[in-house]
Amino acid sequence: MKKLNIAAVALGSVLLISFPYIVPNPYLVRVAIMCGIYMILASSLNIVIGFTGMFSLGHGAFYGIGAYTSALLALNLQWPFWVTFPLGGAMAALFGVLIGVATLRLRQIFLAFTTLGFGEITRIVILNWDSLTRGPMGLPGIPIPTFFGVRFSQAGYYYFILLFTAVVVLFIYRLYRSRIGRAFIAIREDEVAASHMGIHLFGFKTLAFTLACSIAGLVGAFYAHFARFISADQFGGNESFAILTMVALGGTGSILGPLLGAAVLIIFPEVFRFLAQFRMVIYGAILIFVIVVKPGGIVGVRGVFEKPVQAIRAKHSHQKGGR
Amino acid sequence: MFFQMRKVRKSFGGLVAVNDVDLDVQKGAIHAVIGPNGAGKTTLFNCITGLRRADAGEILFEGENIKDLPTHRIAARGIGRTFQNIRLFPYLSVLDNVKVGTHLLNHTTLWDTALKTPRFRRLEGEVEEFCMELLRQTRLLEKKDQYARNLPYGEQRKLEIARALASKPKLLLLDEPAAGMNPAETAELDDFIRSLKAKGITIILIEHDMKLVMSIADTISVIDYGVKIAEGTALEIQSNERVIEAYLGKRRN
Repeated sequence: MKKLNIAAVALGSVLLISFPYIVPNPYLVRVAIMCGIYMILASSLNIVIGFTGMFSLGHGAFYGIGAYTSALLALNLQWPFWVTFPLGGAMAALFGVLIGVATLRLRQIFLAFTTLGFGEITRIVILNWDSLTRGPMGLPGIPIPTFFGVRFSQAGYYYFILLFTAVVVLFIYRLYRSRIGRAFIAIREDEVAASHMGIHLFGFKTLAFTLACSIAGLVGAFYAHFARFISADQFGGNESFAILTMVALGGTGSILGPLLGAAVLIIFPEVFRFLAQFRMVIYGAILIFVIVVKPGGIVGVRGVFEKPVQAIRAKHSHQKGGR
Repeated sequence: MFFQMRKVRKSFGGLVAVNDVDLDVQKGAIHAVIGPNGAGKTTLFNCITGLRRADAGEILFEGENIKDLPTHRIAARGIGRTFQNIRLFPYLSVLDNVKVGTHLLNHTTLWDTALKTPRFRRLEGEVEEFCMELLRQTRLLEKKDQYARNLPYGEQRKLEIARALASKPKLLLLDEPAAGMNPAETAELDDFIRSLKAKGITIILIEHDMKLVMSIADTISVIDYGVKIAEGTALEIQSNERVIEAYLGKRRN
């Protein structure tokens, strides 16, 4: 079994590494890069939703903050990508801490409201701060990153996001099996019991939220230099709900789930181009379907969707049994 | 004195759940708290661990007042507990439940975790070994990879004790550990609690199983309507008029 796993991982790695050469089709490589971006976004949101059991509805905003931070530093100060990329993550982390400190002492639901509001505020600020962000015109001409003086080719972007995805997944895997990850899951499972084990609820919730935001900020920075044009509507509520749907569909609380969900929901609209205008309708339908029919998603363990559904079901069956 | 409560009071609206209770617990003792249902025993525990904030009084642990500390800080002082209505982490494995209990002992940082440093490997290895030993002692080793929610009731209670012990507490609060256990399991629990005492852990025990209480408790406090009505050894309590009255009612002449 173990040998089989190693063989599968080796084969998968070879396929992923040689992908731009086996499939020298720029369109397909681009789709693969978008898959990587959303795999990271969904995995990071899963730290909050799946592991720690908190509801965040504004992940797109932190993605956008990372993108705008990196793009503006590169455009206005001509700073290289390797400097602006981590700064994008840092700026998103900073906002993550602020939101976390403001709401995470309160009941869970306040994080959902605050992040929902924050997502809208971020979009509106970007849209109206013309002197900095060029408002609705967006930011074009974001420079292509260079690697030892050589500008990124499409394969360069591909390898960057491949490595980045691998690092994020490895990090989350290690986190999952560490003291910190166990504290996150304990908070999801039972806050009262967790605090009796000496877990500082507020501290660990803030840590989980900030980690997720900083990773989203980093991907945002990458996206800005990959797409080379960004505008406010790319990081609004729709984006947050798309990421949320990926996590829900793939499965909250597992490592594989968000990767799967992201891949499905990025590839699906490419195949069914004629349904493009119904994209958000379909996402909404998937979200509702998953919550009602299979709250754990395709491969999920447990997350914010499962608990309320279980509670409602328990109440319902109790009433049926009682009367 | 190792653990003291001085005139601790807690009320919910008009109901005084804990009414000026004094409690003295010697180091290394097994101190039982008994009383009819709704007497305020669990509220007493909740005040000790900071889950509920006592309205008045003092709770002294090793000479320091812990009444107003948050729950995680009280746990860090060395007070562990189990819950009357079992509060395990249902979707974590048996082993991981116990590992969460070691939270206060193992201080790996985010960097250690991300880079899997030698320090991280060493500390995680120690945690693993220690938790396996605890599961061996509580005879749960065979079930270490099962979800906690899939254990039978009696084993869930044992797992809660194992999890509480994982933080190496100096004082352990057990809230009805024998509830739902069969006589054989209760006898095993009796031995297990004695073995904890032998290791120097002080225990406060809420329990309705009188056979167990009378067998292992060094001192028994009886609480009724939030008021401590009697305290003493098993023999003294069994013959105390007020205790009999609280449990059985007044004798009719």
